[in-house]
Amino acid sequence: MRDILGIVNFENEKVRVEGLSNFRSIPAISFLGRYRVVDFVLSNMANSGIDHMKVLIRDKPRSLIEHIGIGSHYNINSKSGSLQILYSNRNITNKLYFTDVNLLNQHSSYIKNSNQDYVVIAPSYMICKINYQDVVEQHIKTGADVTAVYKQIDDGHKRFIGCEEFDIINNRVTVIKDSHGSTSVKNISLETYVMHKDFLLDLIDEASHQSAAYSIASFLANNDNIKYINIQGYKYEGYLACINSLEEYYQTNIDLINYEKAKEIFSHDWPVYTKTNDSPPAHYTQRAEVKNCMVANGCVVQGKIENCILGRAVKIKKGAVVKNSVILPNAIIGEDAVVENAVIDKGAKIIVNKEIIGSKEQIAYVRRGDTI
Amino acid sequence: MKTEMLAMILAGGRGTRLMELTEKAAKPAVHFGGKYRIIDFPLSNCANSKIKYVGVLTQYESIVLNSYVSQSSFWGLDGRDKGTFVLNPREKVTGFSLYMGTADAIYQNIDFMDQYEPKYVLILSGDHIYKMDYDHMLDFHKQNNADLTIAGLTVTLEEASRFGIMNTNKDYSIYEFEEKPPVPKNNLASMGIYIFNYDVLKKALIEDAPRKDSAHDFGKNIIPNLLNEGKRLFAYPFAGYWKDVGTIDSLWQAHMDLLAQGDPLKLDDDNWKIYTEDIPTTPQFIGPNACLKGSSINQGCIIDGTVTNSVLFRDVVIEKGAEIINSVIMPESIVKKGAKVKNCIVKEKQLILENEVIGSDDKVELFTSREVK
Repeated sequence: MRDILGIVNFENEKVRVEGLSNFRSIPAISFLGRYRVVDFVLSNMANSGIDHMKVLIRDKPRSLIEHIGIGSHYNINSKSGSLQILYSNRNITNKLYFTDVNLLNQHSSYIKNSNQDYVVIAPSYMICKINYQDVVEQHIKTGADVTAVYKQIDDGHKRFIGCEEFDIINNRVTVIKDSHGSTSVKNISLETYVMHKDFLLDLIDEASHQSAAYSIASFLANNDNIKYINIQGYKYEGYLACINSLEEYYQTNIDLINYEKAKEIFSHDWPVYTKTNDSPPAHYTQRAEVKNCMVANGCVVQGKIENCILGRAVKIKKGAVVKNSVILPNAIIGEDAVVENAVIDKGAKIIVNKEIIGSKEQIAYVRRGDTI
Repeated sequence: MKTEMLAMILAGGRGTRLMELTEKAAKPAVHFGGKYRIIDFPLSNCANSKIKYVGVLTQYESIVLNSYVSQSSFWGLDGRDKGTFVLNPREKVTGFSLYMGTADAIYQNIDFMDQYEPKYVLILSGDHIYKMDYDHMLDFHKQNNADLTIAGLTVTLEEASRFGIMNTNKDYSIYEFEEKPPVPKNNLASMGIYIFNYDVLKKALIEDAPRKDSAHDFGKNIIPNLLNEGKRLFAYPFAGYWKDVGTIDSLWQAHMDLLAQGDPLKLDDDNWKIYTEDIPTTPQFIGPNACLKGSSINQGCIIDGTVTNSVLFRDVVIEKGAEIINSVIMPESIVKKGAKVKNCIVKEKQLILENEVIGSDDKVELFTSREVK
């Protein structure tokens, strides 16, 4: 097993989960009840035997830092391993110039001085189950400059809009462009790259000289650069979702209520680690009615829930009916309230008898801590 | 390393009446409440009471318990000035001896206790379910200028003969202590929770150790001896949920209490959490055919059957059409399609076959006969 440096990249400016991302960065958003979005990439790294991770942060760091801490819950060795948070030391007010290249450039000595030869860079919002060791092995075998992970999908006209897609000839990535949903079958980029540490250092050096606005992705996508950089594709076949909008966030949550689907990312030999907080098991009272739900610990369900995700310590009071909704931790749905097709943010209270009804096209959203 | 009050948890007992549940793990390691082990209760109470050092005395089948207890971070008892310490019987210059009684177990660890120069020593039992602030009990002990304070629970007179009974004056000073009296005079029962002034404890243990006629037991020997010597003994009255889950029936009943009484232990209280091991697992999936009533269900469970008045531990699978009634299903057990489980405790990692019916209407049964392969 190779010693690899893992870097969790922040989201580019196109990724925005409306409402939820006003309060925290995408990686810190509560997901599938008991997790945060970032748990999946960090668990993939941990399960791939990566013991040195760096997490790049652009803004709103509090919630994320609180969650990942020193990373002991991701199984990082407390002595020989490390999880480092990299944030900007410069005051960059223009989002256009706040790129991963810029941030890595500020911290390049930390990359240079790491003991690992190979680097994997992956974003938090691509939800998948991938062994990065396999990607690195292919990378070494092909002698590529960069190995970029992609998945061939057939629902590109409605999912993965705003992601990047690859044109691939003989396994080499020849074009990187934005996916607009015009075709169904396409190669979607997981925005996950493997390269030699020295190549990464050269890349950020050159990119920052060429333009202050370059990100790793846009530098690679540049027509001139892609000609001389040998980018090989690594074909990923497993489950993939991209949390890049409120609709995708909602739909991914709802899709994974189905256990047969969820098995593609949850298995006992590939645990998804998270920070837990010692809440008691979920409790269902005599009047509870529950179908097709994923429920976290600490919940108390006295009402009716169907096709829902309940975060930690959510309370569903008597007579309440909640359908097709994602309820974030500590929210309270009051007596006889009705909630449908909604995302209820952390700690929000839906009072007695209130109705919050969205539709598949227009998901209702209730802000963090609001009482409605 | 100096500490004001050191805690010592007696966790060596087998719990014979728990049958096969304690075949390979001592009673304090038995699963409880859908996610905990029994010893999580005294350990969490220690952590929440800001006790820093906790010795845990183990003896019977101690592999599970020793590895568990040594993970002090589970209860937040890790840190530079904290810790949990496993104290198994060990070979000494004088030879090797098992712990021959509760007092002997503590006596054999005087050298451990001396390291911390404690003013007080809190002695606990590792197999009781309750929440208590030992710091309040210490305040009570200090106010009374006591040599020994014993936590006491009011029980019914019928139950009283199963306990050590404290006969007290109005100010809760104890004038008589009777271990399991056939005709109890009072109903204030010892909970096996003691705060000793360490100098008094050490002297009493050293005097008791060589006595051939002693059972080296706190209730039978140490406490009556101290009373005879005229020491100041006080009862600390406790009000709240307390359970000794010594039998299959009482273990089952304690789980039914959790469901019926609406969280009598206040497990939901953020200010006094019961901490436990955090095992990474999958979320809890409730399927389209599920029906859940009056039940507590932990992470990792996959449920598509009917669960009524039951407690399900981590990673239990209840398939479509299976029915669980008034039962306790321990971690990683699988109940196949159409099976029926009633009034049972199912041990961890058990397999109930398709359409199998276990349990009966009139008594509680323990199922341990088929391990998941």
